[in-house]
Amino acid sequence: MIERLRNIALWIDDRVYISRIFAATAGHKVPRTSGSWFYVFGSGTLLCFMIQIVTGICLALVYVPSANEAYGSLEYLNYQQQLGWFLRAMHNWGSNFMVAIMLLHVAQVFLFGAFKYPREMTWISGVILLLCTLGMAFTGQVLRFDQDAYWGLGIGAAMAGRVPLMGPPIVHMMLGGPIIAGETLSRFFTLHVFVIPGTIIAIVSLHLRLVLTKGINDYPGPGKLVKKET
Amino acid sequence: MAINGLDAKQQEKAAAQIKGTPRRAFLLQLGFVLNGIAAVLVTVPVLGYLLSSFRREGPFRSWIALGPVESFLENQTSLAKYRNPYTRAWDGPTADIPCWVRRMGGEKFQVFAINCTHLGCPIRWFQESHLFMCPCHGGAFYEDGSHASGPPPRGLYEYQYKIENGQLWVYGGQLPTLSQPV
Repeated sequence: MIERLRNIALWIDDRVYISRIFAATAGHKVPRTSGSWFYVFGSGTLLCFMIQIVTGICLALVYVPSANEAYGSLEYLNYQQQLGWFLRAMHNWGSNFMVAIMLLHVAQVFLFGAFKYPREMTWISGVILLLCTLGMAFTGQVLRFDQDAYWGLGIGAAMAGRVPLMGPPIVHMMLGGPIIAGETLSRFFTLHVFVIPGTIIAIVSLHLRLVLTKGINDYPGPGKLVKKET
Repeated sequence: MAINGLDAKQQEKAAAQIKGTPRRAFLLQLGFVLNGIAAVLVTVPVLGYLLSSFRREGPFRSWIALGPVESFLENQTSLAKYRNPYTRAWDGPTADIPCWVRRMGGEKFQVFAINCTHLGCPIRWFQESHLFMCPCHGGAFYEDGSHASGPPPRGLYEYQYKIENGQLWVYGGQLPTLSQPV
């Protein structure tokens, strides 16, 4: 029986190369000094992102993206839906931790000089991911559509209104109408659920590919020269 | 271009042949053109749909009744609320827009938008100090709406108003911003 399962697994692996991907990623060689806790923040951010995807999909099963009903559906999640309060809390804390751990990651990469040649594109793609993550945090809190969300949007609109010449059309585009209302919520829902997560998944793929192809940096130390070839 | 079952020299030859064949090159270019046309056919309506919200046509602003003139006491400032003239069925309470009405006496009014001129937060009237104050960054305005202190770059946004059939009307319908006050 076990032999049979093994053969099935091998048959699949022969065709989709899972073990090869595993060997190339988990088995990827890194400098000995990089086996440090300072190097876990990137994976930590990605773990938060995966938790956000799972809990986000669950919340989207119940949440109603309508100005009139959004807040009511959150109350339903909190008080009637089994474990709804828990998943909302996980999604909320997950977003806080994602931003916090991502900032630790940015600080570590910056202080260790890991953004330098040949890893410039890893850094640049990371900056795009940073903007996307902050975008997720803002669009996510808008979805509650409570007072916080409403006046937060008002601040966003007031800022957009300061753009020279293009201010009024940009505000109109952002709100999806002349005031903060139903279409504003639909817009931010689309950004939060489709546009930004899709972008994050695409850029994370690039980011991780660069981590594997360009490698990660050696643990820096005083007087230790950086090897040109790494 | 790797073609199985051929050695390197033969492969090179085959690749050169493919490259040099006019019919193949033509079909390749035709393929690009057809795909380009298909892409344009998809892109144009999508862009038109998306960019339509840049175009701010339509009567977003109109005259809105705030209530009978007598309901506003003389020498008082009070909160009024109206249903935004441009609204969708699913807007819910978000289309209920508040504003501050100051009746100076008789038919002399001032009607201010709720939004602070700094970043749009809801300003509040304080009868005790005769000031409008903003909870976000400490903006303050005098009772006539002029800027008193704090970060706001100008006085309060003020609605045009008129009195008709004993009712107070204001001209509004969109979120006021610095580049487009009321």
